[in-house]
Amino acid sequence: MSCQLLMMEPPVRLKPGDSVAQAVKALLAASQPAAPVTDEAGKLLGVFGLRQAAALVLPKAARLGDELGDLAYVHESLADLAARFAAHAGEPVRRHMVEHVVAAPDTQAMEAVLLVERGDGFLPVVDGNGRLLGVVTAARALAAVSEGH
Amino acid sequence: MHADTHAWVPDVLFGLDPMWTATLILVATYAVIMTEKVNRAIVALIGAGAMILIGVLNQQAAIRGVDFNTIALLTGMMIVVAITRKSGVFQFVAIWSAKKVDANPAGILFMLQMVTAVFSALLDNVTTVLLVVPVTLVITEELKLKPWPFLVAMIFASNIGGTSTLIGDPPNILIGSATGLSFNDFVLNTGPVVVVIQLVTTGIFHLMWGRRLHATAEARARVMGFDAREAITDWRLLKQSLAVTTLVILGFVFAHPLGLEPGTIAMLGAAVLMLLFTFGKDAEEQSHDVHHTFGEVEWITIFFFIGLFMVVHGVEQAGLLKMLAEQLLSMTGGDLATTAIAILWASAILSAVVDNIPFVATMIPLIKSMAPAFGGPEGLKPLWWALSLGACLGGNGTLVGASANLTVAGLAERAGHPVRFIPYLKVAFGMMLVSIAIAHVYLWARYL
Repeated sequence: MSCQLLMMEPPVRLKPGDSVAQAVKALLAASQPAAPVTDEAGKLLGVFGLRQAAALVLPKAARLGDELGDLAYVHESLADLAARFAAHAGEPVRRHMVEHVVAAPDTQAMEAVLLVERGDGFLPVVDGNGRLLGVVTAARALAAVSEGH
Repeated sequence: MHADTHAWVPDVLFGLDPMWTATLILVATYAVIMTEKVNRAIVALIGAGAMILIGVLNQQAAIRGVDFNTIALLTGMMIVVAITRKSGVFQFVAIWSAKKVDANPAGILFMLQMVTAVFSALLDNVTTVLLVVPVTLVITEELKLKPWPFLVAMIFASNIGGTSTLIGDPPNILIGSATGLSFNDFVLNTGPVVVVIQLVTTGIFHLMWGRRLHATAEARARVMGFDAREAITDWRLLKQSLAVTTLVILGFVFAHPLGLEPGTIAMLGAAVLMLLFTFGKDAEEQSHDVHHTFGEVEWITIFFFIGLFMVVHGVEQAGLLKMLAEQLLSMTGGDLATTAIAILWASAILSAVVDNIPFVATMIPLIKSMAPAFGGPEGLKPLWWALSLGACLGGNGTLVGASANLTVAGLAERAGHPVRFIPYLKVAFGMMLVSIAIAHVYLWARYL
């Protein structure tokens, strides 16, 4: 069974010039973990999601991942965190989008669910030319599975 | 029973000359390492394999070429550090030191150099910068300062601090293991000049950068709000790690006269710390923790050393190093002072541009073969200190001069603060020459 049966139109689709603030607002309104960033021809350029938005509240050193250890020693107020986010709110998503694992239309459904489970609950599906066909999300996949049951 | 090493007569394929064949393998190995196109561990192991297959070494001679004391010391210390780092002690000390100077940027620049130098003397440089750089980046971001001065100063401190002890930098581990020079010998001979060089370097960095660094009162208050104790993730592990690390270092200091090699002490310390770390856990959890700890050993470094030891043993057996030593002696007229100073400056310049580990591994047997010219092994001591100071401090000269430099550059790049080759070179090469000039005066005044 192809993953296309689990696929849907992305509820949020971003343009590279959209601001971080616009993107976060759209993601929260649509309760989506992430959104594809596409050019005018519909080609997938990257993904910007709530994880990338959350990283903007953290020190840059958080990009080091495990090597940073934790940040339990930093005591900041909500206003401090808000100020950190505000510093990036006007920046275009192209600056913060990430490369993301993708599926092809003939990717098996089981493989697509595995990629969703291992990743951030979000999987773009692209054709051979990199054009976005749709997305698989954990919510969409589970809805399809429970309906099937 | 193994035959005596010196009894092995190379039997090279097609009757080729052993010395030139070995030289060709050595040069090819070093050339490929320098291109950085192939992982250095793979290159060294293929070079070692070539030495055996072509017949420069037989398998027994190749194994005898490996200095297992060095391998055990490196592996043991890597395990001790892999467990100790989990406690958060490095972050604790970095934050504590920043707060000790009221988050004053110039004070932090000074303190982080001291912390890095001391940690690098007692542990390895790469681990030290790997653990101190991330917290430094958090602090500089809070202070809204560019991290560049801090990163460059930490690279210097890691290489300078590492020069002061047997275990601080791989060239010293190699020299100590091959010559029997003890932990105390290094502390008493390279230690004093390292203190001077670190203080001079710190002073220059203060004049160049520190005195111009300013942060707002608000930013400094945020850093003062950091809670260093929160950085400690496991107090029990912290106490165990500090106890074992202290015992291992005391072992280096006091066990040498008993004939215990540093490799034995480090590996025993690693085993004891793993025992404490996994004590009381069920078998599955123990296996997981031990597996994970072994996984943190830098196997690329370990296998690089193993391959390199065999390649260098091949050229040693084939007589190349003895010939080179004779040429060096004829160039310096057999004068100890000239030879020591030549080794110091050549090691420094070469170590700035190429990996200092293969260079030192090759120089050790070369210097050893000069013993008759200088009245036996005791007379070689100034040459060992020259090699250690040149190779370790020379690593500061360029961004590729030492592993710690590349580690800092890699971390900084990933955190969005790239450290580039040319800007680093402009600051560092001159500073490195200053440190070698100080070492030159020290060697001349004390030994020559």
